[in-house]
Amino acid sequence: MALNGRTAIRIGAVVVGLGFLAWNQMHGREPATVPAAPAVAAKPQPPAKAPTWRLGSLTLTACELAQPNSGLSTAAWCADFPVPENRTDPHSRTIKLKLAVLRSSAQVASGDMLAFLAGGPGQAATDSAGMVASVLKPLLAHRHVVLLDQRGTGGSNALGCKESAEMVTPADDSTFDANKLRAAAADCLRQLAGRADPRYYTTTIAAQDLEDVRKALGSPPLDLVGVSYGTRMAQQYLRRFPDAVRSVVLDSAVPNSLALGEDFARNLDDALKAQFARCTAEPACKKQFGDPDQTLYQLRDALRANPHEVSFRDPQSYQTVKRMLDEDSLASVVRMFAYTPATAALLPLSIDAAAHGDVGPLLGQAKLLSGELSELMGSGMQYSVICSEDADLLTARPQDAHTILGTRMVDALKAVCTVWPKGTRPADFHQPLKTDKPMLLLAGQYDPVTPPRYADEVAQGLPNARVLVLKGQAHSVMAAGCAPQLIQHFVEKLDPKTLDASCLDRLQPTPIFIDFNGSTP
Amino acid sequence: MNKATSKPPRGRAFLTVFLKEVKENLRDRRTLMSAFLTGPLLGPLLFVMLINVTLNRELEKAEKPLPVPVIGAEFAPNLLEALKAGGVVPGAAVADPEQTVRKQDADVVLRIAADYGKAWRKGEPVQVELFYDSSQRDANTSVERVTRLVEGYARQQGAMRLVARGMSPSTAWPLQVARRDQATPQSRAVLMFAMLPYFFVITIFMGGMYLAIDLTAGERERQSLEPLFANPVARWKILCGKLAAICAFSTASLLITLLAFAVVGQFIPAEKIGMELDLGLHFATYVSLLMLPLVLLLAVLQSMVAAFAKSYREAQTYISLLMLVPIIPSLLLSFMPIKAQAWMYAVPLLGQNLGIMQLLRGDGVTGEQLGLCLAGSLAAALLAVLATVQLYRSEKLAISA
Repeated sequence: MALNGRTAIRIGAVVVGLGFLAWNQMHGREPATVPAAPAVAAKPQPPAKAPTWRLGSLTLTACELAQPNSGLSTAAWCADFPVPENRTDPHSRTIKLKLAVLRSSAQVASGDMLAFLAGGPGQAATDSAGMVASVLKPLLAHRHVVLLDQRGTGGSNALGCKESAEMVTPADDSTFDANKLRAAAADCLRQLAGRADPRYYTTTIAAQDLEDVRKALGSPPLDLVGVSYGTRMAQQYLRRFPDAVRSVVLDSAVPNSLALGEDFARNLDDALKAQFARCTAEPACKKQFGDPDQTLYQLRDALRANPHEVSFRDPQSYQTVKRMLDEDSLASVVRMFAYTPATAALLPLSIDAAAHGDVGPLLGQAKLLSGELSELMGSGMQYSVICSEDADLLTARPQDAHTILGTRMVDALKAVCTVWPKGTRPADFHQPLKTDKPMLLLAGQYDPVTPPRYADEVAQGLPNARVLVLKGQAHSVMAAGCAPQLIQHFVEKLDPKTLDASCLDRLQPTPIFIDFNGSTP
Repeated sequence: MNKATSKPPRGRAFLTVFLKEVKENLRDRRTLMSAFLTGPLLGPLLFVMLINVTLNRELEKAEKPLPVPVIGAEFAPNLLEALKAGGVVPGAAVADPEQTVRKQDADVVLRIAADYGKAWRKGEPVQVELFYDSSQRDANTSVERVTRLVEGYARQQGAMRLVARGMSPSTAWPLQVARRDQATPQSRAVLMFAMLPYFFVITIFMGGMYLAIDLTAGERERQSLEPLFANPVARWKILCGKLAAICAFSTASLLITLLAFAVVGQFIPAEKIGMELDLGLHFATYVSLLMLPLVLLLAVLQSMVAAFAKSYREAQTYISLLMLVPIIPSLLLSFMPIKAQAWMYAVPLLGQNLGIMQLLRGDGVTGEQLGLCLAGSLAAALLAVLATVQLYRSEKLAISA
């Protein structure tokens, strides 16, 4: 019975053989069980009851949040949250807010919750669920994320209006017409009558909604993550409910002192000039386009002198469609393009092609972008916020007249606000925020709406804040590069000063396209 | 020994043997070390160290800058910029990419074709090559990362080319995959912790091993088994006393190791990768319950195998081979994705393995599964006891060769 090496090997071989035998046996058995399966399936199954989840005093139901224009959706837990439209009148109309929670996979989630505050004003937080889930993924491992469609947006009694037919006909010339805008606003008001009173769709009242939701969720401390207009919301909420907030991330911050719309023309021109300077600094780009800034203004002047109808291929349907090409449509395309680095990199090429008579790309791109932004621009929600909170402080600046945007944004807002009902704002609304809460401010180098100097301005008087400027990025930057990890580390450690942000050095501006095959290789 | 063998009262023979063996072995330092220190503590310590090393490596690899030698970097400066933004640190070109990855001088080497620039400008597709050695498990994360970055860049550039032409990128990618991973953090943890059941089995094994050898082969070598059997006590009673002593030792080892796991469980950085691991009281209770019949089964098997051996040394050899048997279910389950069937719970070792895995997944064990597991293993243990009793009846056992 003595064992030597050879025997050991033999035993080993038997062990392995046994393993395979057992495996075959188990798999051999499987077919026998297969016929049983259809019998089970044949039984009519009652429709599965949607699973529910109790959180605080709320019962949430499993749901899918669709992401507009992407075909994607994100799994979440949803509930309707009723609030009085007029908070000072208990008998006023009740409106339903759409609340969704992205559930952490942790068995026992952290006591605090993240709250994402969307931009606009007019964007719905639940529409951003996919982006939020991917950016905050590392934090989602331990924390739930609250997405509340702010009143007047998304599933919370959205103040959207259909434009009446005569408003969109491109027959008119492009001269600014305040009367037409006022008529459109009045038409929108008529559509909203009976279901919304625009005076109650302000930031301050929405902050109260968020606080009610937080209490219903069991009063968790909130980690606010605000983007663009959402940063105003974050600051106002923090001012009214400081004890409810644990930390704040502001992406593309808007200072409280700013009247929305005031700097749009200047900021866009600054961002465009900086982007175009990258082209003139690069030999291949300069050779191709010369000075894109100059081309843009030449194109603007040509369109101002001669607005005309052009036909092009719709990018989605590929049908030939006709559109009016004028100074306004050029300005809005250029403005939207400047929002993201990828589209900004296409601007010199599109402008150059259009200046040489090939307007297809530019208009196709405009159609693509407007698909994303059409509901946002000029929505009733935007008017409600700006007319109540900013319009009286807006003045058209003569020095903006020569810019791409000109004074038309300010003029349009002021015109609309003459007919749009105004709500009230607290006296300290436009006072700079003072708090020692930990704060992280992110800004994009080429942001055409909320440039880095805004973040610096907000950070003044905040002893526990840190400003990070993301190289080459534009508006809304929290998904860029390692920003998600930085947000994670910030929320976990709450120490903005020692946050190691060196990984941001790896961010680069998107190389500018020199022809239809892209930038230099 | 003399004290114990001097005419024990008949009814208490079992207890006397049990107490004697326990007392005697408590004096033996080697047995104590093996049963209460090395056996139970080695597993948890090894486990924590391994997990810590793997986890930290993975985490570092996922976030840290990744050096990648690039051949032909000059042909695609913008691609390289995009890779840099993703955390890749392009290194100097190497002469022989195949050898470089095979010798593990680099996880990944990237080679860009010389006609990259020309093809790019013409709008023609062109390849970049990734050299790696898939047998280096260490390299997989790096390869994955570089692949993702290059493909992401290509996709983004492709989308921008379409947009530049005024077309919609969604026409080129009409379908998107939305992943809905239903794994809970605990069930994900299972992949990593598949060897945990084996640790418990080994602990029981080690706890009783020296005792089992000493009580049969050892005593036979010392020629003390013969006088013991000469007593007017049924041999099965003596055997039961010995088995009880072995079981006491291995149970103690099991409890120590469970305690150790509960303690070191706190130091496993599972939460870093979004896992949850609970090795607390609930887990320990269920594991000890599942393992109890196995304690008896292994004690009998060890005694039986040792009884075949002529000497202490020979018994040691056999028993170390026996130790390979419990590894089979663990191996089986980690190599082959088996969907558990009810009968499997009744198979000793396999049942325990499945049960512990289910506990780790956070699913819990149902009463039926627990019953099957206990009944199956207990039946096997009783059969083994009966067989060993038969063996003990043989006269050859008592007499040393």
